[in-house]
Amino acid sequence: MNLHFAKNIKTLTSVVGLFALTACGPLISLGNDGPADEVFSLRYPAAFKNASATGPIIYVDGPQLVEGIDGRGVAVRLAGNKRTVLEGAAWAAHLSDLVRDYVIHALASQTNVNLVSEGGLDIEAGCRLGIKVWAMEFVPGKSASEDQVQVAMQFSLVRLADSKLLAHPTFSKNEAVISSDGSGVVAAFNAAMESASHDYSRWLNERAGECGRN
Amino acid sequence: METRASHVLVGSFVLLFLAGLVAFAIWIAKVDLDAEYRDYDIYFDGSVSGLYKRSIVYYSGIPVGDVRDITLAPHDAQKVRVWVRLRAEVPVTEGAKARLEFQGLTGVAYIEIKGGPPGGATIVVEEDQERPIIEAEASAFQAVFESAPNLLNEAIAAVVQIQKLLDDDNILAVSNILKNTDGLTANLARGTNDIEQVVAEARAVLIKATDAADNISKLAASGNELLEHDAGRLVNEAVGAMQAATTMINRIDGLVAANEGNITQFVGGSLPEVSRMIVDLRATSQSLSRLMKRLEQDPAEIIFGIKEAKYDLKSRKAKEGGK
Repeated sequence: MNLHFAKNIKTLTSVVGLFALTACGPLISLGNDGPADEVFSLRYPAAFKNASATGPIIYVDGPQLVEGIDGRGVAVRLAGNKRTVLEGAAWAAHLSDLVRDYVIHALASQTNVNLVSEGGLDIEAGCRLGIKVWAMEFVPGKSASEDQVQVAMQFSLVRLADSKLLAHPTFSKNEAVISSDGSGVVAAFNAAMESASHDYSRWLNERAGECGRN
Repeated sequence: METRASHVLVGSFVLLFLAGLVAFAIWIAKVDLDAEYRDYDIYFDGSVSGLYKRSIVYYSGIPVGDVRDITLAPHDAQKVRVWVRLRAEVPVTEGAKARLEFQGLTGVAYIEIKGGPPGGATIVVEEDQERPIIEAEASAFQAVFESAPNLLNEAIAAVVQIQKLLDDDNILAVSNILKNTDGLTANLARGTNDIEQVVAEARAVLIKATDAADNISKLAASGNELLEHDAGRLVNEAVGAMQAATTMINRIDGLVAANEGNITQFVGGSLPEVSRMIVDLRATSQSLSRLMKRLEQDPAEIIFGIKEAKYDLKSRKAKEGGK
């Protein structure tokens, strides 16, 4: 009886020890991590604007990203349908969160629409704006001067009263990369996003009237 | 001695021979010396080609005279005057008609006279006439001959039109139409079976419809019976249920009135929280979904990250064994 108990104690101690060692994994150096990644963000360059009191209310869905660009790595599209991420660079948050915040900020600045996202589900909205990101990637050229970034986003404006798809446009932008480092690439992404924001803001201003006035 | 008696005999014989010759000629010519004749004029409109002097004149198919002369009418060059001589006993009365007829296809013409009504007055000569005039009428042959040139021209035009109609293109088109018609009739013949099937199915549907109508009629009868016997009880039960519902609603109304503040707080504060909680659950669900997906694909990736060749901007290459 005592022998059996001691055997169980040893087994239990071994298991607990292994779990403890596993839990400490992130604290234990498992090799040379190298220099830390540079962390970048997408930021709309205009000041915040007070929401319109009379404009329609549109709920913005979390963007859906195609495989390959979804994550925190800065996606790179290589020749031969190869994909990878930039060495030494990462997004500050999940890319879908960055895109959603950027689009909301840009639309709030350039339109009279009241935009709500997650956290605003209890607000009665007139329309729902879905976003599908088809491209948000760095495309190296044959030389550094030919490097560029590509951004392509498809919007779906759905009227919630009758679940009718009002419009389904796609906005694409290419922007040249000025300097061949992480900052230059992200600057090109920001420039492409800003350029696209003018197009989809103009489009939403034209169609927002169909979402009613809430 | 001189023979004088022989001259008298020869002369007598010659005279007798000549008299016999004249009698023979009269017999041969069938000259009716006792016959009496009357002359008439007939005015025909248009041509009398094929009619000559001595042409025979018939009355109801009997030869009764002949044509004595053919000239143009004195006062009308469009007409032809034919002078005929008929036997006196021929009854040419008022209303008699003369027609120009032809014997077969030889082109020889003759005049046929059709008498007037019985007892009619005999035609007499007028003051400004040389002879009595028999009224002429156009025969069927005359009408045919007069219209023959036009008929021929029209026939030629018709032949030309038919030739145009029967050119190669139209013959080909007609041939195609006949082929299509043949195919159509064949399809129609094949489709007869389908039509029969459709008719049979329609008949079956009608039988079912009749059965359904009978059932509906029975149902209506049952409904009437139900209303007559059970309607009163059902109405009483419904009234009772309505009264109970009214009582319950009044109680709920009182309950709400007594707890209005709490309910308002719940609707204004708790319900949005529930919505936010749903949103958080959705986000958590998405994160867990991503995690499980990565865990399924490569569990080590969760701790050590994905092994991939990262792109180095300086060397412009994807480096194996990147950080």
